[in-house]
Amino acid sequence: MAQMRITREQVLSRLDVLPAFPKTVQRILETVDDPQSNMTLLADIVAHDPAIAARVFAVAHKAANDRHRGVNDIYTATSLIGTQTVREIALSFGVPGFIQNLACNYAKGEMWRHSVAVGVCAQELAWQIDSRDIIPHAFIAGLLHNIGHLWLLRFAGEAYASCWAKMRNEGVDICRAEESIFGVNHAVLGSWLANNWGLPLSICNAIKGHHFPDALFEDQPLVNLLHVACVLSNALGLNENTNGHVHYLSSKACLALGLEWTCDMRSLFGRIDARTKYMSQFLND
Amino acid sequence: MRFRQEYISSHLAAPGMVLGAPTTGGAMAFSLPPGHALTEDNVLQLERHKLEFIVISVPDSRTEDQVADDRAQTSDRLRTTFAGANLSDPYIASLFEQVLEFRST
Repeated sequence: MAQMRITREQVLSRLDVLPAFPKTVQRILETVDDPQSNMTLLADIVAHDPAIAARVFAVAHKAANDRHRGVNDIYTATSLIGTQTVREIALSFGVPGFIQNLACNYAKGEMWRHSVAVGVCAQELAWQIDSRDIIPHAFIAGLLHNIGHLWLLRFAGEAYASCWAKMRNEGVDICRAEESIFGVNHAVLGSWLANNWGLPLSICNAIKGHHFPDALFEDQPLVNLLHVACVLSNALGLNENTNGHVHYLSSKACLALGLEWTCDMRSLFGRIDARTKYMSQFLND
Repeated sequence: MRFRQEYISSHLAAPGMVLGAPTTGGAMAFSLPPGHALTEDNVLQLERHKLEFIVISVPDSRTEDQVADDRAQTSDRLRTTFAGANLSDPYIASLFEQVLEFRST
């Protein structure tokens, strides 16, 4: 099978052909992460996106009511809820539409349904283990985990079809099949994209490690969570039109998350199943 | 008659469905008890309050033999899904059993 080596530079050089990552979200992420930045600049960026600004106001009003304070401007609202909450709002508003746009253009919806399923699994698992630190990023990480697939479909479609054939015919893991042809797998490629868009490092690492979390990362809960979420979505058969397969489940990741699969999981699985159907329908509107 | 609980997306809710668990929406704007049969107004309420799922109680008229047959078929399907996995690994085996239990009841 012909090889077609792909480098990080090649991946990033073709980004302008894809739908653009939401500029406002990218600017908010950069500003939040920049130690030289300030709240006035952040508030100014937020003010330029009506949807994000409205959500910031709504969250700030709730916080203000709790503290019996008034919120009359975006600077006060942004200051009151804090930079991390602004970052979460920006991600939750900007990323779903962007991924949906990419997935529906280049993967005819199957990839989108799988991404939603993994997002819901990740979010429900995060709630189940009550891990406050990773709950805000769980759904977004799930939506983005296969962003590398989308790039390969768009720019290396024919060779990528060979990967899938190799996986099906030889029972090879998809990452190994990709590495044998491209010299890189979709998880690493996806992390390059996420990193370039300025997404939080925890999300970039989770994308990179979602197939084999043990090989690259120690004690990174979002990496473990995304791995388990991806396996669980395939185990539950949440992507109705394509048959996902379970190849590997990291016992280390399960142990680190406190998931032993011994208690009754019917309620968790039921919520995941029903919410995936709801979200797929809702996010398709 | 046996009953089983089923989680369904709220966009599939229909009048006459019987709730299998308490259902509340909009910070206690409405609250429906288990055993309540949904009305048309309730379905609109679910939609208005953007509830993502509900739990319904569904009569299960299968005989024990039919239940066993269904479980065997589900197990076969799952074995295809898990074909590339090492089922002697305790974590994989537990996950397999949990999914089998969920999909068979």
